[in-house]
Amino acid sequence: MQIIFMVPQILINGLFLSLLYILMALGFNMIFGIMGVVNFAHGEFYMLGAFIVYQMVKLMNFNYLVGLSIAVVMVGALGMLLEPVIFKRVRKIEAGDFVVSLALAFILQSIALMIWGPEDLGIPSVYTGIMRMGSLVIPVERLMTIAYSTALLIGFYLFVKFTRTGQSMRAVAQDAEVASLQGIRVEKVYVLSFGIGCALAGVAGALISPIFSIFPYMGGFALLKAFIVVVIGGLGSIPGAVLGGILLGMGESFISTFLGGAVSDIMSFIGVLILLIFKPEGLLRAK
Amino acid sequence: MNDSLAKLSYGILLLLLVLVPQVIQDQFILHLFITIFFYIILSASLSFFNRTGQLTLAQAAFMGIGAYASTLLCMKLHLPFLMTLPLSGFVSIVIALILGKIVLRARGVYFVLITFSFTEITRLIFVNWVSLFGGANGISNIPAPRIPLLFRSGVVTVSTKGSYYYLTLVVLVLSLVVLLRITKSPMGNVFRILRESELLSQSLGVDVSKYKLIGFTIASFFAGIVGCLYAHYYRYISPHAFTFWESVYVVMICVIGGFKNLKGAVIGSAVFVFLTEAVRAGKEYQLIIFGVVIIVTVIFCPGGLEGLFTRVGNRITGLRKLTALNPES
Repeated sequence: MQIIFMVPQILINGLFLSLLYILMALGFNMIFGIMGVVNFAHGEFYMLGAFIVYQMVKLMNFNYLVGLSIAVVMVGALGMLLEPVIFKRVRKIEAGDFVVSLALAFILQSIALMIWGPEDLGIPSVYTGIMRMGSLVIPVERLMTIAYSTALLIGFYLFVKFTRTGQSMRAVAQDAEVASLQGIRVEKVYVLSFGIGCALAGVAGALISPIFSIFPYMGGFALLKAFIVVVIGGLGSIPGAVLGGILLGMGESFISTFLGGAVSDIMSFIGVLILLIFKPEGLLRAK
Repeated sequence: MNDSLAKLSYGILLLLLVLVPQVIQDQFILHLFITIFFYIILSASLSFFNRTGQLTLAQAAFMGIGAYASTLLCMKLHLPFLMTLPLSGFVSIVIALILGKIVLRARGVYFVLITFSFTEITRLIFVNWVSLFGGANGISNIPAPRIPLLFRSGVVTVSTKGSYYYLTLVVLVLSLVVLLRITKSPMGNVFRILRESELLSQSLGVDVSKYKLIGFTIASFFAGIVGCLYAHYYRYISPHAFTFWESVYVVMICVIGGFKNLKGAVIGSAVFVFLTEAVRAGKEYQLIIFGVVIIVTVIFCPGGLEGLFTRVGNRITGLRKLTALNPES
């Protein structure tokens, strides 16, 4: 049956989507897990990551990897700037983070619109060529994205698990008060976490910039996927984000291959709703 | 502000509002007022539900449900407006009861996400059930309300902006009176304790989930009513009017106006609508100005603008307080 032969291809496509979704969701999840903040502007940091790479590569002729690094640093820095200026001050306000991050999303979208215009933009593929293994077909570009994402995720995991900073972030996520009693500078952790969370969104955007089209409203896509992944995997749980990303990516790949893209969108929503009703903490409990 | 002075100022405000259409003929300004009235009802009921400690993004969904309900009842069953108005509210109540029973067990952000999903799914139903709801094109040629006159025989057709202003104002005042009544009733007391501490309320024997359901149902009732008013005002409805964005705006209004009391809903709605119009002058900078104003407002007026207004009001009446030697402020 033909289907058996399609499975490896679907898996590879699914892997690509999964890693992407994990990256998109990880930053969002981190920020919520450590600070309890729902960052509605998360998609905009993703968007900025892509635009900065576009600016560097297309308009200023930088090398792609250099552009990517700069994008990540800039987006992360922006996050670290905005946390104490805006988010810290609305921490105690009912739905404050929600409304403020929404307003921020409007602002960032408008700025992007003004600088780069509403048209779809793109940068040329960094890696050309298509790899074939038997019946598998993968553009090298996507393969490299898979490779980079995996490296990034491993690096992130090592960072969180083994460095002091990573450990203090986990401590604050567990219990901020106790963490500060242990001598951890909670405010500094918040700023750093927010920055890293935004940087992760930026990296996701930067990584897909040679593949998908770039436009000021692209953030909505990332935010939606981040929401879904996080609901599946559990808000605040990093392994959950990974699991969620895999389930969503693989699920979409399979369903859209056999039933079409529209069905796969509706299915994700229904799945999310069911999960929210019966297992709101997600499949993996947080912490 | 002392009580009778407050009542006097509300009375004056109401009088001014009643006079507006007599003095202002500009259709667009009347439209703005009507829009503000809609948002006040939506946000006041959201604010009320918020006393249970939750936020709902489903107001737009219930607005849509009320709008389509009234439209269908009116156009297919030929029911008069005075019947479809409360019926829209009741249809919303029924759906809210069913939904609430299932989903109110969720907390905090999860509940918000569920109501968000509900709004999206409702919208998708409106879009895809074309035979009943008209799909993405919606339903047009919705008749204007025909309201029988009280003192004379005959019927008023509320088709001008001026007359619709009065209709909406009446519904608004009635809604606020009902909400205030509930707030002052024993049930309102329960809601007040709930806001302070859910844990404490439970230890006092309060059935928290029951009150959350009541609050949620009340919010949806008023959202349904607004939906009905909306449908017969614009005379055309489509799913695009009932997206989660509307729900988000309602939350925004409560945040900038203040959750504490109904004043917050009034001030928040007025500020929101005027701000949306005022920034149009900024052209490409519109959303940037809008976003900055929202952020600044939230940061510098944490309790909402109503706190600011109350303080200013107190300053103005400060002299009175000094001379009256009133022990309670």
